[in-house]
Amino acid sequence: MKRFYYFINKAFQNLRHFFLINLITVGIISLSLLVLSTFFMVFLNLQTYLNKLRDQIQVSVYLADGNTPEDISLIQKKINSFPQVKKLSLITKEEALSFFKDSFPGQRKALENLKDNPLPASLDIQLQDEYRGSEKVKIFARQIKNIPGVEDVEYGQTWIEGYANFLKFMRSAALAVGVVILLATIFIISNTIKLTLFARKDEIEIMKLVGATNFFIRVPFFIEGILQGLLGAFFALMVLFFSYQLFSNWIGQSSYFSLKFFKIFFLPFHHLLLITAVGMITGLLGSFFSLGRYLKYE
Amino acid sequence: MIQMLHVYKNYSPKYPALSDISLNIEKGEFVFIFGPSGAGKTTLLKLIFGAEHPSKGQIIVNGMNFGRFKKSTLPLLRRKMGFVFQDFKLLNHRTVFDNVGLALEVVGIKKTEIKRRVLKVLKHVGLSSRINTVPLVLSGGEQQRVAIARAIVNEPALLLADEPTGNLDAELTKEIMKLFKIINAWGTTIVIATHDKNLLNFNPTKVVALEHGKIKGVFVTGRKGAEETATRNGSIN
Repeated sequence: MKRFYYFINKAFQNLRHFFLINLITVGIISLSLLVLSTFFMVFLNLQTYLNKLRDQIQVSVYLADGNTPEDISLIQKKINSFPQVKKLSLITKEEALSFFKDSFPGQRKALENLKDNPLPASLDIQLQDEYRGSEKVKIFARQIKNIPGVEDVEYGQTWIEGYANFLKFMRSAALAVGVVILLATIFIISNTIKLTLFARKDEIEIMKLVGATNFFIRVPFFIEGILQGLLGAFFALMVLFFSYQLFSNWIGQSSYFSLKFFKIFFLPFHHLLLITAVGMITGLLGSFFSLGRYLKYE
Repeated sequence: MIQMLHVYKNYSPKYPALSDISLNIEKGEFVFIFGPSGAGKTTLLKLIFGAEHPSKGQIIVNGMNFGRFKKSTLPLLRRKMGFVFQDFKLLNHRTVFDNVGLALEVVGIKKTEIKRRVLKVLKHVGLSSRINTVPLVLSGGEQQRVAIARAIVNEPALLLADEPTGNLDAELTKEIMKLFKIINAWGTTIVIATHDKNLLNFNPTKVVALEHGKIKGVFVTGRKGAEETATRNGSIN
């Protein structure tokens, strides 16, 4: 325990003594981790955004004009019996017209000249999560279309297929980019630490000359590596957080980007821990592998 | 203290650094390894403190055979040795106290004991007033005295010095050599590698003359006429 305290003390002393070189190392680690955590944040937000978009998927069932209220009630009952259905809401002909008028106030006059309401009654169906895949929606739509009294079914076929393809592409691309960024981060951090050790090779040589064991030399360097990683992660996440605040404020004020149903969020706590762990582990491994060459017995 | 038996060291097969070195240095001796640049002096010292391994032959230092012991025990062996170099090899960001204390710190000696011993040794080398100074603001002679203090603070049985006065003027050289003599008088075996003939006048000392990696002769200086006492096999007795 006493020894451990000595090593911790030594590591902090070294951080102070080699302030400039440590500052540069921490700066580089911060930048690398900032790129990694920014990527994480963008990816998580994008994924959540796309999931929310998927939640918006709904099937519209247009009913034939000749249906009586009883027929409509029966159709509703039949549709509700499908396991795919999460929520079903009826939009009557009158509601449809009123909605149309509200949405297109310029066309109001043209509608007033019509004798009959040309808009059909419809049923909007929200699907259970597990039935939102493009193929599953397609099958469900076909089944609904066969119900007597149903005139047409719409579910944004092209959009759903495009979305599914995009999601697939984004996941693979994110995985590839994520791995490359992670490897680059590890490479940069371990090489930066290698350079700092190179600058201190005389110190290592002197320690060896006075009879220090490799363990005695190594441990403070390991602790330093971990501390550099920790500080690097801290600064990276601080910068990311303040950038996020600025960006969200800007988005909030901008009329161009109005994301009504989606609010950009910061990295969740376990991701912050993950980024910090990447920094610390890379710092430790960087020291471990770089020290090896200086600690051959000679 | 040091025994070398038919030791060879080759960095390249064409130009051996050391050839057939046989040497016996007794406890408490003061020995110069003398020769021009490239004669193999530094290589010989490196073999003694285990920084290099012989290509052939046996080296026994302080009863330990370098060919047989585990490499991880090298630090333990070095704790019984002191080293002084031409370029001082001091930690420039640490104080004089820290530099000298380092040799005790690595052994795990208590802080209070380190303080006591460092202050004592700095008094011996005349640097009591420079305890909290960093090496870079010291003169060359003072820096070398710090290095010597570090080398002797753990009371080593053997002190090795590689061109310890190479960066110093004549006056400082005298001062440092006097210090070595005092340390030797305490019973520490001293081996100094040098190309400087003038050092050999700090008498009486034994000299192992090296040339082209071979022992040219072994002399005792300081007596009239620099008497050659030994031998083609190079043993000093």
